[in-house]
Amino acid sequence: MDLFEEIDTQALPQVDALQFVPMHRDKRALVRIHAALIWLLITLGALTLAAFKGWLFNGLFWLIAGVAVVVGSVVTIVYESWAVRCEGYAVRAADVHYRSGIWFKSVMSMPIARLQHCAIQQGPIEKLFDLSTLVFFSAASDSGDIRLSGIHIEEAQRIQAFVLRQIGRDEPAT
Amino acid sequence: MSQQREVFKQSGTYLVALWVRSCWGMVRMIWPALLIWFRPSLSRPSWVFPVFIALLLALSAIWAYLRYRRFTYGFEGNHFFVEEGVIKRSSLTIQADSVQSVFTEQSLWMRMLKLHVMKMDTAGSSGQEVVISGIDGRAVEQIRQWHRQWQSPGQQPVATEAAEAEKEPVQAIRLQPIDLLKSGLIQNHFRGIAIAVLFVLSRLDWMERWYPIDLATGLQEAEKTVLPWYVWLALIAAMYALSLTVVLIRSLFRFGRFQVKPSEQGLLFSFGLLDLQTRELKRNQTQVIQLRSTWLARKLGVQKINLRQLGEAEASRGNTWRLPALPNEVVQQIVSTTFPYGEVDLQKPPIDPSFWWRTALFYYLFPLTILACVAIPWMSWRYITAIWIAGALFALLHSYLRWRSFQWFLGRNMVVYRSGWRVRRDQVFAYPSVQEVAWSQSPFQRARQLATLHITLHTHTLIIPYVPADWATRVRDYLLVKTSG
Repeated sequence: MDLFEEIDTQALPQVDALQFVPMHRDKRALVRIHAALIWLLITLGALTLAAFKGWLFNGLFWLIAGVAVVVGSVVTIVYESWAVRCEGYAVRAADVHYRSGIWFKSVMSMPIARLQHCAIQQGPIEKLFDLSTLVFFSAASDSGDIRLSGIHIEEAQRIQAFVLRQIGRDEPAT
Repeated sequence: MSQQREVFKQSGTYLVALWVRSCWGMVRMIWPALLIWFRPSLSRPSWVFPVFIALLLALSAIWAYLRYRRFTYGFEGNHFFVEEGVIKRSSLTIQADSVQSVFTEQSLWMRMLKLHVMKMDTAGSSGQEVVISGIDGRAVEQIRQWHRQWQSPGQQPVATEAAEAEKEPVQAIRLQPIDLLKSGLIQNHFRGIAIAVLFVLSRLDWMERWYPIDLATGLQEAEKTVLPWYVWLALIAAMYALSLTVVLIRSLFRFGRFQVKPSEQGLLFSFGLLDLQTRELKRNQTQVIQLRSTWLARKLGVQKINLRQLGEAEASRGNTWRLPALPNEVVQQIVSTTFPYGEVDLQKPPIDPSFWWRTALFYYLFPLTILACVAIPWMSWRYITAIWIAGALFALLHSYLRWRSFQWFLGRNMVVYRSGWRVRRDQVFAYPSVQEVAWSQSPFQRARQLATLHITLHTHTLIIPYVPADWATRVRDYLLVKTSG
């Protein structure tokens, strides 16, 4: 075999088109709650500032803050819900893919052979909906390279077990 | 199956170093109290100071002896163990399979005692798990032999035709003073900045023709004291000489006595004027090679090389071994020994021409125009226009040359990727080094059926921008298949 033989990229076969699985439908509710909580925190911050500055009885402050909070929360909630529709994942025998982006689309792909470990994370709000985040770690990053956020906990456990079986580890990495 | 347990201790000479270290450690621990006790204003009997010194020496000697006595290392079959600790005992056992590399360091102090510090790199940690200080050269060789004997077949160097061809006796390479000078010349990063700053300072009077105020004093109509041009020239020359001297001295200390010689497994490097470091690069075990050369470096016939070997601290990103700028022939020898890499015919990837004008537009011209708008109240139109035109010309030229510089080679075992026109970067990597492949598309790219490919390696991410979407998908799939295989 010639080590320096060049591969003709035009003649490369294309692997079967990826069939992406959309995120769990409850993820939309999850992102709306997240967005609402963030805007609640912003509102509380603005109110604290207003109390210190003495703007609490200023009509203009209430008008500007009210419009900003309402418009901001509506835009964020609509945008986040739309973004969830564009997300998807595909797990094949040898690799994992994650699709995201509304305008700027991206597909991240990780060969299972390069996986260091994978972890399931579940926050309190995710717990309410039985959702979880499945994180795949490669050697290239410490914080997780592919994060499948908003998949059902049982589905996450199934994928984790499959992936670990593929890399020859039966037990989840600790 | 019980294996014979061989236990070793550090060299007896190391007790001296341990004593000194323990003594220094104690002084560092109690220095605030010492400052209070021994302040000149405090009267104390004359015997206190000698007694304190004697006590310090005695205690540190006892502590050093206990540390020396409790420290043992050795082998039991394919297991290497280290046991240490006086109050808190600790024991570490690692398998030969997980040891990726064994290398030694020798500080000036250790060289005087003819001792070494030996470190072992293991997969799955970002640092060295095993550090054994104060062993002699024979013990180092003994550990190296144990590692060679027990390492797994997968870690043994792969004998390829390229490697066989390299088996001719290779002479040890030593860097000559001229090589260090060249290395220092291209590492002189401060040079450009220093010259630019001094040039701007020297031209303040010229710039002030378009300024409403005097930049030097902040006062209008102030009396200007402008230095003559030859003084500025001398200052620039002095700053250049100073920064070059600093870099050369640094290079001399870091890479003085640089030597590469062939070893059983590949190449053995040793370098350092005072602190001698040795490191072995195994044959055909390199996953990523980065070669960097500027125009000046190419003219001087040197280039910088960064390497990452197989399995080296797998869990850490950016853990590459950076060598100084070396002569081209040395670089070629290192590359051909540690990586099955030869002269390949680089091709231009199908990067769309829209890449260069969009880069110029979004990364340079838009920010430049915004800055120019912001500067309108403070600068004259002539000055703003001149800067904008110069900036725009530079942006267009830079983006175009950058687009022209992309070249690559997709082989059966490796990928070579070249980019950069001012600083040329050649990146060579084997498929096992690929960690992730990402495919992205902006709205503009979608309209023109283009995409950007991001190839994440152990060390960094390569970006192949503005290629046909279909081509990017095929290359991504090919990389995934090769990586999984």
